[in-house]
Amino acid sequence: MLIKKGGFLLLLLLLVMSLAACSDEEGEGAAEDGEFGGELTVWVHPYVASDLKADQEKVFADMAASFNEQYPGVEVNFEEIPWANREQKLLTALAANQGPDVFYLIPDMMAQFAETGVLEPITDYIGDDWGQDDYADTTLEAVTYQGDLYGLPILREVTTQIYNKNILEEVGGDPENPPTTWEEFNALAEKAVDAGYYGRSFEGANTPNATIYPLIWQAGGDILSEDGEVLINSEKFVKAFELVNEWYKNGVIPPDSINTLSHFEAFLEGNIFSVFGTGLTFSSMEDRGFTDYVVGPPLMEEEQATFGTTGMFVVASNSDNKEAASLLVKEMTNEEHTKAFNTLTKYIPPRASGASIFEGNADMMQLTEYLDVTKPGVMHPVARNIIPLVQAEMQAMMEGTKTPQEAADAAAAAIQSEIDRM
Amino acid sequence: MEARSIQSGKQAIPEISRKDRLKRHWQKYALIYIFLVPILIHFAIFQLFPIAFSLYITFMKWPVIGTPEFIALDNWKAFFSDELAWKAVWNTVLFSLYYIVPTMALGLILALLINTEKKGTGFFKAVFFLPVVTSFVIISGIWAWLFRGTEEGMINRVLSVFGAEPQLFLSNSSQALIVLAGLSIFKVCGSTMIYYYAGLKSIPHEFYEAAKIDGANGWHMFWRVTFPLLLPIHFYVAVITTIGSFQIFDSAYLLTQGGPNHSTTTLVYYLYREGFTNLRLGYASVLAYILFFIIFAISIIQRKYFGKEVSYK
Repeated sequence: MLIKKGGFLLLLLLLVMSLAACSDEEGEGAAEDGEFGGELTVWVHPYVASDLKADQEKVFADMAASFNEQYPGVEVNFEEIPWANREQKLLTALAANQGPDVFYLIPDMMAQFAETGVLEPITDYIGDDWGQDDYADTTLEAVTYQGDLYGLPILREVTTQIYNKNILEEVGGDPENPPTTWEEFNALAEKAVDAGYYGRSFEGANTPNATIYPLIWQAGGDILSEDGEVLINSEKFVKAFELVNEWYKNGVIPPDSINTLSHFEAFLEGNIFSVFGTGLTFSSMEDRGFTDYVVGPPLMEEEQATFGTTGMFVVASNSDNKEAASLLVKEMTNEEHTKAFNTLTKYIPPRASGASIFEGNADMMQLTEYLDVTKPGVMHPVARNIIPLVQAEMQAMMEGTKTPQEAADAAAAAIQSEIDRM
Repeated sequence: MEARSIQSGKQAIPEISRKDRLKRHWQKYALIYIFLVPILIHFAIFQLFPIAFSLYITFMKWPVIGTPEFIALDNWKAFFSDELAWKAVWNTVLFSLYYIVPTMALGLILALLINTEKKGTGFFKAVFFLPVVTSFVIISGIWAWLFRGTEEGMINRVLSVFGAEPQLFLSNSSQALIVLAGLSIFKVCGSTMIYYYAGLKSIPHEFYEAAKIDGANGWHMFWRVTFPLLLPIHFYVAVITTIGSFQIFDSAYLLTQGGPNHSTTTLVYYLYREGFTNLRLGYASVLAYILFFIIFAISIIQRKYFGKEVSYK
């Protein structure tokens, strides 16, 4: 006989064993005596380039060590998950009940996840000593959903206008006093266009958080009210659409603004007067040896406003040890660890006390001044769903197939339809 | 006597059956079972179960995370009134039109070029195949750079030499899908070239000699000998490029985000967005089934018209 029966059984056994190895491990819960035990898994991401990987691991190891000083029975494991496809990994892991206890989210995802019930509100677990007064209102807004805290912030970003200093001087602007209002900006941008440059970047394929939303806020409008009412039919919203339309028709923004993902190269090449950038833009400019720039404030029409995400750590509602996980989040985001994390990653510490890490760095210090006017985006479960819909209406307007009013009406209808499908 | 032998024969049958029969069967087919069973288990777990399960969740409001809810045929009904879904289907069909025939034609032309066996064809074979083995992300980056919609864009600079106006390419609703199709053609035609090259090699040389004797020129030989005898390859390439074209996702995801104004929102891109961004996996499964029905129907039609046997004898 070519193959013995025993061989087949062995093969089957191996197969069964390999399948068994894939099965879930039993979760470990909290000890009943008030002291925490078991294991906490935290999913983090590569917030820095690969050459700084070891430094990032140390920052997280220090967080775990200080947590273990208080709760020695808990084993904290940090697992680094690549940014690519992180949403799918997170969703599938949570759906399979194999996800982490603590993970990283941004505000619009937080609202969506909180609505589906996969996040644990941490308000009742973390007590009153988490440093509430150390955060700007806009920061707390980003981690709050329907009155409950769903996470604590670890990093912030601020987006603002960054100008090519040479063009600014060429068109008669003052590098010491860059534009603060739409009117001042438009005056200089039009001169820049006359001189053969584009006035500003406008990356239409990017999220509206980086394109139209800040303009709506600056016009005094909003996308959705706190109770979910669609506000984009308002006059202020249309005003922002009209501004973009004018910019496009007059060549203030480049012709490919309809659907490009980046204008940064064109800015570095000296073809664009101003770019809408973050703290990371400074690092990129430094890497490319681009030093002739000026940082300007977020613009205003009726009010000064801009966009900047807030990165936070949240607790999964299916964690076996929600209280310990919440306390770990509190530890990870305390003043000491927030400073260490942001010193390494070059993001903005969400705590006011963290601003000291930028002493000697005028550009980043300037960004921290704008935290109060930096909005986290749309805080609603449909925030992510409506991104391509608003984007499409804006693009239709720029292509000339819709007027600003028609585009705003269509965007309103699309948003309402998404809310109705919830 | 005769009756007895039948009787004894009857008694012998139960004795060989069962154990011996199984043993013989096992001895004969053991190898097949050993190779087949793991594959079937794998197929059942990773193909059959997901297919059946995705049909089940088309009847559910399934947010991936959170609690699912039975909603009967609501997801199917939603598809028929979802304008964006129909636009995605139409975009996918358009993409196929821009993609399938040029990919096949270019693959065939490249195969004919390398089949000339002239000096350097080996080198060009590798060059033509290079995009196939290069990462799609890298090729997409190069494509985006080439097709920048401003005067500084590479292709626009070339066009300006001929006095043409700068084009918007990815920022133009009527051009973006064609640019994406161009990217896919560039990426895939190397592999269609290899299929056609293999097909060309399998055509017996006598046919060409006979055609030559009959006074056929190169043009006639191509249309009367080469092209018809490549029918099985045409069929295979048509099926795989059609399936590939209906599954187009990565270029829309990487270069256009489905824009401008949904003009590059293909069915799979829309499916992905519905499933993983909007957390409507039930509805995304409906879209997956629609995609399956479309590909299935087209494959049947292709089989009817191209799937004929070709004899080289």
